[in-house]
Amino acid sequence: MAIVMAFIGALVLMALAGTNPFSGIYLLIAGALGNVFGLSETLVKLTPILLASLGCVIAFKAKVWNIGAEGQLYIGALTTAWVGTMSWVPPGLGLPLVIIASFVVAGSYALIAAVLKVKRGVNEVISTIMMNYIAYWVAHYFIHWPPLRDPNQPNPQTLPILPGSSLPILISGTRLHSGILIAVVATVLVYVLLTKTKLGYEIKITGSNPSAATYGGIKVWRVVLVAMFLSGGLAGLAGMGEVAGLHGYLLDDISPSYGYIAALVALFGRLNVFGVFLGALFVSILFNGADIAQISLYLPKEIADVIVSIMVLLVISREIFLKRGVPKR
Amino acid sequence: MIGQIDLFLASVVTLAAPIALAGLGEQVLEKSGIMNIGLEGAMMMGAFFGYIASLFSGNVYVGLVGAALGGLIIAMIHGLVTISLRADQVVSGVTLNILALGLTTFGLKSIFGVRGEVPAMAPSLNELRIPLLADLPIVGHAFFDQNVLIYLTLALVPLIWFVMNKTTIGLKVRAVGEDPKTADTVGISVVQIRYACIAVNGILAGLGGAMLSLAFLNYFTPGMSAGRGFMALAAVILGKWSPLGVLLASLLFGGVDALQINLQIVKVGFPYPFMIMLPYLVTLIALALLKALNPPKALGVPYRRE
Repeated sequence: MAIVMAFIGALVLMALAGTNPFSGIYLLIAGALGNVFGLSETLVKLTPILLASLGCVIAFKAKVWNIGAEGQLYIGALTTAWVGTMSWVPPGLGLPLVIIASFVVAGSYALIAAVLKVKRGVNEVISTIMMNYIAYWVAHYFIHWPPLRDPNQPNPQTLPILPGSSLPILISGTRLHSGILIAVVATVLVYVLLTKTKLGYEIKITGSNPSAATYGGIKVWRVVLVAMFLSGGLAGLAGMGEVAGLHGYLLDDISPSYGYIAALVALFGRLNVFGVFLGALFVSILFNGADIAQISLYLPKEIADVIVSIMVLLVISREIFLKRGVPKR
Repeated sequence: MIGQIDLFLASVVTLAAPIALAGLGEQVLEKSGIMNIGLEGAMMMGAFFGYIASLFSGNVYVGLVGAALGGLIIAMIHGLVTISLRADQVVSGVTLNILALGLTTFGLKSIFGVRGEVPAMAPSLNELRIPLLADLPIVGHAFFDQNVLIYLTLALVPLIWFVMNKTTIGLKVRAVGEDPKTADTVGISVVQIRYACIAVNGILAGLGGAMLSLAFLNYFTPGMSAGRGFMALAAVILGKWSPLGVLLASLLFGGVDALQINLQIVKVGFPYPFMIMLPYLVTLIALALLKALNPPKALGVPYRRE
């Protein structure tokens, strides 16, 4: 229902923009699924979107509004560009080190906002957004200045990471890298964490009823910190995949707002891990199709952001209709 | 030297104005118990529609009307979703920011092409010089040789204070923000008051956006609000929900922004990325140092009539 209405909105926008709406919609969907290349590109996009969305789910479940996935993604990417170029790392340890480091550093970055919230009552929406801008410009510095900048490249980018620290390509001839496997494993782990563990239970109670959580002996502040750390760590892995799997180095604007899209996907999937997986897949198809439509139809690719945000608005409104018992059409 | 202070102060006021306009609208809205996290999106829409309206009409004041309407669109959707449908205010606001970024970028590319041609310059706001006062040393430039939006900002501070604290309307707004149930019992329409406040919020955020596209640059770039909507939210907290406080906090952020721009020009040895991040860092530190005092009691809580 929400999807249909969002697409009707999209049709109107396309007509306004002077594109034939039906070939537009066809390209949005078919472009991303039609062949091996289109499909592999969709999975390439799915990797960061899914990882960052899972991070948002953990934080949002605890009612901690981590809107900082974008910045945490940049911090994870920067950490990868730094650790991935360390030549003293013994062979075989490069990739595990990059994965752990990007998770821990990005998680710690998110932790700053959590500590400010718990200790000083700072609104985490504002603090995480401010930290997104800060992370972006920190990454920008290391892309443009030594010691990380690659002096042999005319365009600003960091030194290429070592082969031992890279995520291997899965299908030769495509850009599909093994980051997708990490994303799938992370999906299962987050599902287990939220549904089968004590911590998952504490996160849920903290989010739905903090006073009951306190009565029940749960240290709410501790849950907030842990949820934020895990949330930021997953966004950091999203950035890690872009550097260690996709590009091989860090460059400006490495994320086309994946971090913000992730927040929408988490809401669209109603903070349910399976729903978020499907939502991330849907959004990846849409964004990949939008890239193709922009090239072949000159249809601005931001149509995808518009569709997704309208869908989320409809989903949150519909939930309320259901709660009030208004009959479903 | 005096001349330089004069010019610097003028740039502080100019850079503070978009944050102050959006912040004053947010302060009014939060007094009624609603928070608009989508303020950034409303500013973006204001900047975009202001630019488009000014460009195609050839009249900058038509541009201002367009900007107000642009901000109003986002605010009204936020009102529908949070006041009437009682959805979570953070969720709605976050979504509206992305909607606004998507819509404005889509609109810009639809009009000027996807390859990123440099958009045309729109007619922009002129300084309206107030005779005699503009010649005052130090403050003359900053407060008496500015555009109409800055005069509006300065006029709104006492006006909002007066309406909020000395009139029945203000009393009703505060009652709704503190205790909507009691307000409802005595016959105040919670929904009407909140919609009126959110309309003010959208119009002022839209005009704040117009300051960016019709006073700083005379054209629109996607994401040009660059976090100022969130700084406006911070200004409301730091300003302790008073109009004067919002203005002072905005002047702090505008001051840091003016400082970092000047530091970039004189090249003090720090690379420019560290200059650009200063306003964000200062916002974060200011929020950490000053605790939120006396927020409206019903802030962020949806009201359901029994």
